[in-house]
Amino acid sequence: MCTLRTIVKQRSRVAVLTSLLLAVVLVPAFAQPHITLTYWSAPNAEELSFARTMAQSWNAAHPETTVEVQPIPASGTSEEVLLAAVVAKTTPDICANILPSIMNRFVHAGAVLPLDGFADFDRVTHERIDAKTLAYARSDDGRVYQVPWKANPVMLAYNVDEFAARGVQPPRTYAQFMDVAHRLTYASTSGGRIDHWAMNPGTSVIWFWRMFDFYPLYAAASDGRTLLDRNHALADPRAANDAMQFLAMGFRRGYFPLAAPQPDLFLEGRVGMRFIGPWGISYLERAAVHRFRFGFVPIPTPAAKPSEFTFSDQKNIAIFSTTRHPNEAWAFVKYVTTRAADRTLLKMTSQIPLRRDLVNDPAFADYFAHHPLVAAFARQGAHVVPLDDTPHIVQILDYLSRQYEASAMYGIIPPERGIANTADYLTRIDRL
Amino acid sequence: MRVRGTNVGLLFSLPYLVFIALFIVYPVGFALYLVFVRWDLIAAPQYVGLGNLRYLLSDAEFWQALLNTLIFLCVNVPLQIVAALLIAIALAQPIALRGFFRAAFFVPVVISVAVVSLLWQQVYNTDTGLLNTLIRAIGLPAVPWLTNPHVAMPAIAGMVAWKNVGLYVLFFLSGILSVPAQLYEAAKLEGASPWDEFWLVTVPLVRPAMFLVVVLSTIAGFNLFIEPYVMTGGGPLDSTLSVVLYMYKHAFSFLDMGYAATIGVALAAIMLVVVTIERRLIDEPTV
Repeated sequence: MCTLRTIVKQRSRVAVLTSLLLAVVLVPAFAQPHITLTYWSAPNAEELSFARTMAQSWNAAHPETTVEVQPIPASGTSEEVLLAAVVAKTTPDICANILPSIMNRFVHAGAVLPLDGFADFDRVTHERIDAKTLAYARSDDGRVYQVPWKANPVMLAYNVDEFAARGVQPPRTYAQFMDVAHRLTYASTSGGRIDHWAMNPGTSVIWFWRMFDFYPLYAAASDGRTLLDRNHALADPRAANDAMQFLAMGFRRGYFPLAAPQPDLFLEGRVGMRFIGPWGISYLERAAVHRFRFGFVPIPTPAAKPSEFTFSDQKNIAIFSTTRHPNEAWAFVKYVTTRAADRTLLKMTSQIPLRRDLVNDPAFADYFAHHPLVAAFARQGAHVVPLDDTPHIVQILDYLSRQYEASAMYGIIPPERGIANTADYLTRIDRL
Repeated sequence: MRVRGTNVGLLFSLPYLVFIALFIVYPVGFALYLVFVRWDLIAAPQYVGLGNLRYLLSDAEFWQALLNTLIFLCVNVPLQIVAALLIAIALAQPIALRGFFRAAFFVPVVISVAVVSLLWQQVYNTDTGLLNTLIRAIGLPAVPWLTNPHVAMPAIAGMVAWKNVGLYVLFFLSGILSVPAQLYEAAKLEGASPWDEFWLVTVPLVRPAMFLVVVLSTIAGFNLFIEPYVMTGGGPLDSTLSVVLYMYKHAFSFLDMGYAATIGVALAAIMLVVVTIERRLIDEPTV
């Protein structure tokens, strides 16, 4: 027999169950969905640390959008990883280590979002970067798919203590360089074999090494030209010859060691100079076994006129089209390129933000006053040459590497032959 | 009844057939298709007819890579066979610490190739490497192991032989231990010297193991990749550029999948010819 009490009890249960069911069904529908963005950073310690700092502060201020930082997966080069990710459609929402010259491949694949489609793009970019830098970021179709972010202008680092001990000054021309190199190349034990050299340019034939030996020399010698002209021919064969001959002379005279890859000889104090970007400042301070003073000067040139130009080693930020949250991704990209974020980047990585008139920006003046070495790179940042934006850039640098090996390193062919071969290769590159 | 039996057989074979279709038939078919296209993985493939094959025939770098690989094989395969056979014969004798030595020779086999390559890169270092330190200690000049185009590939071949010899020792050892002891006793009674025993008893009876070792080391040699990739990047002057490293470069550095597939198909065909010749020469029926 059903009593009133039992009926009330049963109805209460039904009401509770119905409420729970409604809660389960309706709450997610009205609640704000949580968004997670994946952000790939370059895998070196400084940049990872910067990325994590930015993500942490963003996450604290934006509880509805979490940014997860991941280092770009290990491989031969970041470009290979990114291309593989594009093919597999496993790209992150945002990547902050894009070599501008491979961007057109991503654009043709529809793998990246056009950033100039965002309403505030013009205002944001105009405030931060100059027209020349933005023009370089523009793709073949006239749209902008990348935010110019930072540069690592390559300069000539020298061991101040070693230079003082040998009584030499930092070289500005090839002739001065060879004089200095002669003094820096010696055996530290009497009658022993040579164990100190002037510099050790890369002995690897992997393509990207040429961006850090031949290309800065070429950029300086050509007074700021890229490798290719508009017709995809060698833009300045004379400068290319000069750069290759300089490297060949260094190897031939024994100023550059021709050994297999080994630990960083500059760090060990066994070479007096090396080409390096601003990232090298924190690296040298952190990794040097025996502390030594170091300084930086522009890349030497063949002529008496001091060089102004060098390779930019620029890296940009892009949003991949696999993202399901383009607006949030764009908001985060803006967040990591604010003036405050650029200051953090500079402080944590010593890398140079691509910011309009950086050296004279009052927000950075205090930092540069206390870090004159970084300031030298920032000044150099106004005179940089990027890589050519061509889908064949890897093949071209690979071919150039083999000519460098044959002519500069081993002297099998004359340097001018190596450059002539490269020029000829450029005419044949579209083989099929 | 018979039909039913056939169906059941097919059913049991199905997982393997699916495996074969997915991992052998499809990739091989796709590679053959790629031979006729230009494809950068991103844009749609473009049909180029026999363009890739024509380019292969005129590509001096490919032929250089093939020559390098053959040089590697010429050094590596005989070195491995002789070393493995001698070590196996020694380890078949009742020597002290035999178990330890059998394990010790096998240790390099289980170490990662990349790790071994990095290790030997240091061993071969011209200025600071262990090998040149020893060479200098006896008054000889240092050898530029990895930076001399004439020495680099044989140096890599030697390192690979060191790494893999333990595996081939195992094959030879099992062959030697399966030779009936009576045959050696009979040979002794006939007045055979130790050399005769080796040449007339051991060698013929380990021929199946010999064939296996030759074929496996030939195939491994043709697939040479990690060692030059890690140690030399294919240099100096392309002297350690193997066919697979060249194929990798086209596939993943240049994103030229069609040409990379062409190199792969050509390599497979060359391997087939070489292994067939080896089989004719070695794998004659034993008595």
